[in-house]
Amino acid sequence: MSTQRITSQMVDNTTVSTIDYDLKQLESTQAQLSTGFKINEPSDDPVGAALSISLNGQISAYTAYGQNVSQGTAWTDTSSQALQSIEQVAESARELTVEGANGTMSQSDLNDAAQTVLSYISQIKQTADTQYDGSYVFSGSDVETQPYSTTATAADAAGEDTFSGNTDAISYAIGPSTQVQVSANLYSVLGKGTTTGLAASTSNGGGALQSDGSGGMLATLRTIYNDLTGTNGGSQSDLGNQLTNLDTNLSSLESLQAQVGATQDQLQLASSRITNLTTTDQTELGNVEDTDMAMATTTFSSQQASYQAALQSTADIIQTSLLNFLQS
Amino acid sequence: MYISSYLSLDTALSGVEAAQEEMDTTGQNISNADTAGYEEQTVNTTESTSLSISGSAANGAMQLGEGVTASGISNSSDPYLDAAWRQVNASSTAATTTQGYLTQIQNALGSSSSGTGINTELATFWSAWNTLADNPTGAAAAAAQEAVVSAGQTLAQSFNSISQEINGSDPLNPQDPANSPSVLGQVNDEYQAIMAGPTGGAASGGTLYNDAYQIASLNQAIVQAQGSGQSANSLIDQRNSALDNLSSLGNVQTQTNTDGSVTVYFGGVSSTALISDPTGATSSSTVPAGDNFGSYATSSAVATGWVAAFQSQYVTAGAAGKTAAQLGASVGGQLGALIGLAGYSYAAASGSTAASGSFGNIGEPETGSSGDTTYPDPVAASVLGTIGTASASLDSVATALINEVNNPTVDYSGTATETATGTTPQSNTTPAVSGAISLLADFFVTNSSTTSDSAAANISVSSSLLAAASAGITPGQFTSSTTTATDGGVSNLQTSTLYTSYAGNYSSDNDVALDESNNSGGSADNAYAAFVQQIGSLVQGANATQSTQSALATQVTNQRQSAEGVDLSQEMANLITEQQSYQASAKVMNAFSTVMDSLMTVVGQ
Repeated sequence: MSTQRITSQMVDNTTVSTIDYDLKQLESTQAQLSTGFKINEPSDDPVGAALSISLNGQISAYTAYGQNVSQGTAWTDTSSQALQSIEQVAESARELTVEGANGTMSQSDLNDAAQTVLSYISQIKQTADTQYDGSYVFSGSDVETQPYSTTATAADAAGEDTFSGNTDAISYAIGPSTQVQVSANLYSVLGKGTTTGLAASTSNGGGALQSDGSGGMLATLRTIYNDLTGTNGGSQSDLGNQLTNLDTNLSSLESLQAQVGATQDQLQLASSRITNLTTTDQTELGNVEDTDMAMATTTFSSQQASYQAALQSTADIIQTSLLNFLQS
Repeated sequence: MYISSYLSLDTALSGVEAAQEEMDTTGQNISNADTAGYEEQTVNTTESTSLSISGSAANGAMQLGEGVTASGISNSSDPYLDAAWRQVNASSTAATTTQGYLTQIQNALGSSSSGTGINTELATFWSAWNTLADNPTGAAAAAAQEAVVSAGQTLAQSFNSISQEINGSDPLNPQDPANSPSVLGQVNDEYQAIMAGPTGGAASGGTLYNDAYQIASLNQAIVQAQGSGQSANSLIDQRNSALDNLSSLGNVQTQTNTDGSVTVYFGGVSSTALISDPTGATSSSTVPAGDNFGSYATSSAVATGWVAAFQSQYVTAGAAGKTAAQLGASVGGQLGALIGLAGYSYAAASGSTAASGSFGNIGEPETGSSGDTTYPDPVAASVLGTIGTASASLDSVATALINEVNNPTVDYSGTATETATGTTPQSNTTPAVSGAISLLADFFVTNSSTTSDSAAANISVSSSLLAAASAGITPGQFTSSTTTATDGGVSNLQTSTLYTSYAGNYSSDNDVALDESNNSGGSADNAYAAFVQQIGSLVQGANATQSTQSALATQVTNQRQSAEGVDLSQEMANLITEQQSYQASAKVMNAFSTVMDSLMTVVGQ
């Protein structure tokens, strides 16, 4: 007998394995459609799965950088506004000093001017105590501590201008290995002040901050107060020197403002860079792991058709044998 | 020469009888169309010896036919297709077994798309460090530090639980029931279930023992039946079915002996047959003659029979430098797949009474009493299987994470300040200091007594940090208080009386936290992505092998069915022929009867 014999078990085997295969294909497409991902298990596409892990990791890092950027932007915006108002106050103090140095004012006018200077000092210290989200922005890394106390304390009975923060920088990560310093070192401009002045004389650096905190804006303003009132060894003739010191203080304030402004620019750039990179990664991630719905739906329909055809033909074939056609 | 008047009646009778036998056989074929191992039977019919009438051709010499003889029933056996089918069956069972376990490992990883899995937890962990970097001091910092510790512990526990799901809690002791739900535990249990020796009754052991017992018993019965001239077709069918079952367990080679028995070589062992010719073999009260399964070593006796040869195969494979997959391929079937997954040991277990190799981490069944402590002693698999390799990769991810987190690369530079109570400025009140920051204590530890233990199974956040997190962490707790910095001959500022406090970037966690958050996308993340790719490729390969093997199996099954199976249409056609042949023979008898009737009528009158 040379013809190939076809037994019912053969038909069973082939049918079952075909139907199993069809169903498996259908299930896989169904999983792609219902989850929206074409990689549902690493074995679906090992390389793609690894790539998707890397991309997801990058995206979550970018999300963190994005949060840092927005928090840093708010921080530097707060700093920038505070610095601007300190500058305005210092400019007013400078005008008063110029008037005082002219020698045209009476002593009682000078005393009035001196009181205004005291209130300027207080305003500057209040502004230096500016907080963002509960943190003192000019207190270095010690954000919990009020940098310039405006009330007299035991250690500071005279209500002098001591600095309680530190000069450490707070840096935020805005990219892999890219950090930006968001804190501004206002102490380097304001320094410390005492009722005796602590001003640096023209010979002592001329408005440059010394390691004991003298030479800063607060010390200059305290000396101006002494010069205007003629107390603590101050005299009206010294006001010219203090005007020079105050100009130096103002210029270091401006350079601090420029520094903060540069940080703001940097954060702005980082923000759009991070948005772009995130978009790129998300597009790439979509290409790697998202189901192409149009294709998957088409595939699903054709697989369904072939599955139904297999079921239908099986039902027909299995019922038929020679037996059906043998009449007794 | 006279011819019997009834010769034609006898001839017709033989036709009726042959047709009857053929119809019986067709009925048998149809009944067993779906019986496993059944081979289509056919009645061998030959023309009966004819009656010779001597004389010359002119004188009416001739040969008269005397009908048909049914000389026997043969089955349509094709030993080559049987062997081919068993080989494909072994490969396809191996592929299915491997695929099943690898898929379980893959499932243990969680799904990246559903947001579970180590990669998601790594991202959470790095993001917690980032939050800490943004909040270096105060209450926010304490909360952020606690978040870091808790994210770290969740991450460590994920490693623990994946390791547990793969290896179980006691991987070095496969007999420990606590291992059962793990992949390695299941592999060991399956090995035990196949390889176990007899427990209790003679024919109740592992699957392999039972199959061998059945085949050896059938061998004996076939030899007896054929020796006494009886047909053993149904016994042979049963034996074929048992051999088919055996081929799921491992590679089977058979050799048919002249007495009708088969000698069976199994599992790549060529030196000792699992089942040998029962003729001449010694029999015992417990096992049929020719059953060479043997026994396992106990504290008082060495392993014997096929078991001993199989165990020494581990040793020769080890000496030849075979990988677990290579040895698995030569063993074949379910057993081969299990060896490929769990690996094997080729060194003699300490305290063993015989030098023998073993499965995985000594997964050999124990036949000694439960208190037998001399054999076997657990040792780690000396040749890793796929599970061992996957675990090692997971360990390397954990190790990468530990190294990355425990060793921040942060240099600091800052200034030291005089003691808080100092009133007189020193010659240099704020010297510049610099150095490298180290962590106060290791962030991640592996709670393990030996370094060879799995890092993934034992990784944890250090207990001091966990305790601190529950008690509330104080700022700066991560960084070392023993940092050494030098300035102008003053070394180790911390112990210097001049500088009991010092300020610098290192005084907050910001730098350390920044450095840690920068590990996002670093070596641990990359190692994990590589690990997922490795497992994914393994499963993908196993899936492909499985579908190839199952397609092949379907094909060979069909070929075998085509040659040996029952074709119902053919049986139907045969049935018609046989029915007609019966009717025709009966018609001849009818005709003869009529003829005789008329003769009798004439003669009687």
